[in-house]
Amino acid sequence: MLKKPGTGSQDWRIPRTWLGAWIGFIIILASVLAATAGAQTSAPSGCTFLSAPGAVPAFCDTFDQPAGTGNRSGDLNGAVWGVSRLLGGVNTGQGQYYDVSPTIMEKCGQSVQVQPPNDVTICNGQLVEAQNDQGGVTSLAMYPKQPFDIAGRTGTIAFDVSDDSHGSHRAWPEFWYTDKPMPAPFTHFSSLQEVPKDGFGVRFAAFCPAFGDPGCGIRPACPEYPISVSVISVDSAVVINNYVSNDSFTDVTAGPISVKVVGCVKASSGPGDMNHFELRVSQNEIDVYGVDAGATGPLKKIAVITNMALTLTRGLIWLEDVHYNGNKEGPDQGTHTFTWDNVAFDGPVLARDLAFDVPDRLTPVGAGYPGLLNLGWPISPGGPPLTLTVPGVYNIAQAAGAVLTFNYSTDNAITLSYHVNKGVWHDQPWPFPACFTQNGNVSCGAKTIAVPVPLSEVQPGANTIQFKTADSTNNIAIANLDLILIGAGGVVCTLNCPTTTTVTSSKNPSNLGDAVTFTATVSGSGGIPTGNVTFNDSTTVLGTAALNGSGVATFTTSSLAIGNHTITAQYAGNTNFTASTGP
Amino acid sequence: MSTNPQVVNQAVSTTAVITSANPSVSGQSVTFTATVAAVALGVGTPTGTVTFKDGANTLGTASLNGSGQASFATSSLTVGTHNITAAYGGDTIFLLSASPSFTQVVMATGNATNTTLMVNGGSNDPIYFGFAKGVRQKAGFVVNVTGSTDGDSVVLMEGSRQIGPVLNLNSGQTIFNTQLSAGQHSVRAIYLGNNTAAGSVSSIVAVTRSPRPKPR
Repeated sequence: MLKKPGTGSQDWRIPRTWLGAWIGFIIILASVLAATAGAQTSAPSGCTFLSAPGAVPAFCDTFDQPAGTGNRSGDLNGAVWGVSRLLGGVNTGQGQYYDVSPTIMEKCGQSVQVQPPNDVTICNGQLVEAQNDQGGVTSLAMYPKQPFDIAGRTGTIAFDVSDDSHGSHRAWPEFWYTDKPMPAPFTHFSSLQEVPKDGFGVRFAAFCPAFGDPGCGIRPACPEYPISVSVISVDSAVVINNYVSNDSFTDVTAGPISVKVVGCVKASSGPGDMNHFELRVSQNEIDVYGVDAGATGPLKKIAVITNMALTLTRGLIWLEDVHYNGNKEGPDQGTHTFTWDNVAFDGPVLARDLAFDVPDRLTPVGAGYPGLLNLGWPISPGGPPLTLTVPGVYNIAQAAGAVLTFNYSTDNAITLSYHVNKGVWHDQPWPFPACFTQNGNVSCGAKTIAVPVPLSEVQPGANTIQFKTADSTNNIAIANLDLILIGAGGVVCTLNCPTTTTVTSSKNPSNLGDAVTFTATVSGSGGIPTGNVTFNDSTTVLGTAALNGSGVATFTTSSLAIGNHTITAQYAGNTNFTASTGP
Repeated sequence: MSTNPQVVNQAVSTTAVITSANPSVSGQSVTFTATVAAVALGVGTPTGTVTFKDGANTLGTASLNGSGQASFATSSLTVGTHNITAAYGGDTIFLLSASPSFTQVVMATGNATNTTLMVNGGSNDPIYFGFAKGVRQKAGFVVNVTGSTDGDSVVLMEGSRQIGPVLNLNSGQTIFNTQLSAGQHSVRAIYLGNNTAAGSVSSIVAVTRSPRPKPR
């Protein structure tokens, strides 16, 4: 049995096939002293598919918004991006808990004080998690809320990533996709406990120059690079089918999945030194490509993944970003972050989901866990139902379906019953195939599950959810409850989003010599357009002005001649927004 | 405001007119000079003609020079007060405009007279007029003219602006009860004269009107 660092009192539950990796990983984490890396970088060129020339991205985010302050200058657009966080360790009786004390962390070059659970900051496409929590590993994922249709399993996903981490534990960025309704607490780190029902992940691993160092991994054959050069390639792949993790590693016994490493590229040397990766997904194979860090080409195939048993139909990219393992009372083991850029995929897109969250409980865990908070709720065996309220539900008519997602833990494989707004009770058997005995105790662990709710039982505004079980011997807990309306959020536009441009005059009619200000407003679906607006008097260019953060540009002239003038404002467009012209 | 079409009209002009002598005496040549200028910068200098008027009667016209000025001289103004304006007719660039009016006073010639002006008791010191409760106080301008005849006319002037009506003398005296605006005023009285007596001008009296107190 492994002990968690820090508390030493709770069990890690790690799948057998992960054990080898975990032993090495924890040793390294325990030896790393951290310094938070800055991340002001300049983005490479925009969303392109080197492996599929001519393919048009259906989704593209270059994190270049807003304009005017340089690239990579702002928070993620909340309409486009979501964030998921999960601890590696969980308080299985009650849900998760977090240290409550505030923390100072860096965000876009500024020190900000954050208070759990709001201790995630995002800047320039990079997520940073300040909280060390219970000495466990915290994993963050960022995901574009726009899902894509992978039923046909053909498509290309492209992204750039730099290693902003430090120490001997080098960058292990991860790419995942899942058809789990979002948001969902999701991390590979506790794949036995917190996996989505279905998912697929590709883990990258960089290999240290010092061959053989713990945690540096076993370097694949990369004859084109001397041993002094850090390289990166695919490390492993993980398929999760109906909660069952089916892993394949290049350095331990492989599962049914075949991951064949066929090459590598020069690894990122730190912030701003971006590797470009592409995954070409076909019916039974995923080809992984990469470009040397800091280079624009050539694209090299670095891995071929086959023998997958995918059941996914609705793709949602998850970019595993940061993992933190530290303890405020103990040695700081460092924050590892990756900065992402130019995230794109092609293929048809699907309407995104709307998620309505039940706020965390945030009550003290109690003696023995000073400063720690419970986030979830226990269900007393044989007691009254657990009653929770989901506030602010809307767009029900646009939904294709509804599910409840939540973290659910139990000692025994029993049936959980739930209902919405005092409707009929629905029964959910424990979905995992087997429970286990650990340290003398029977446990079924914790799952993030999604259970269906008839749309007819969902109402606008507040919805009451109740859980109960007939079993009188279990310890059951619910945490991280969300009501998801599938497809109710429409399509997030990030690429070639249509725009409309209007222009107004400060004085019309005016007199010769008057200063007249023309104000152009450019609006677009999916965000606020950026770039320049050209003001024309019929076919004559009057001048050009940049859009501000509100999508407004102004141009003032005193030079209009006597007579009638046809004024137009011409928005040039950019990667994300189409051009438009207005009055 | 809707944009199209953006209509740009002629530039706005402004016209001002001054006089070479005020008051003048009968038969004296007086020159009125009008200046027409653009309100906005950078649109050039107005061209065209300016019409000088005495009330509704046209005195004459003159063309603007390269500096936007036009002058008109006359020695035929009759004894009395004349409401003078200059009207600019506009051109292809500029809209027409008219000056504010001023009062040209023309005095008679003849035997010498003397006009004195006293304000509220005769002090030439600045006088502060307050507001008695519920009463708006007026300044009492007392005009005395020696050598005049009953019924002769007196005007009260501040610069070229006439204050109050034309009043007639009675036993060589008349009193203007005038509501002044707040601030300092430099006032003089002008006796117009008659068939035998020349007009005369008083010394300037400085009067200061205190501002209206703020309501409580």
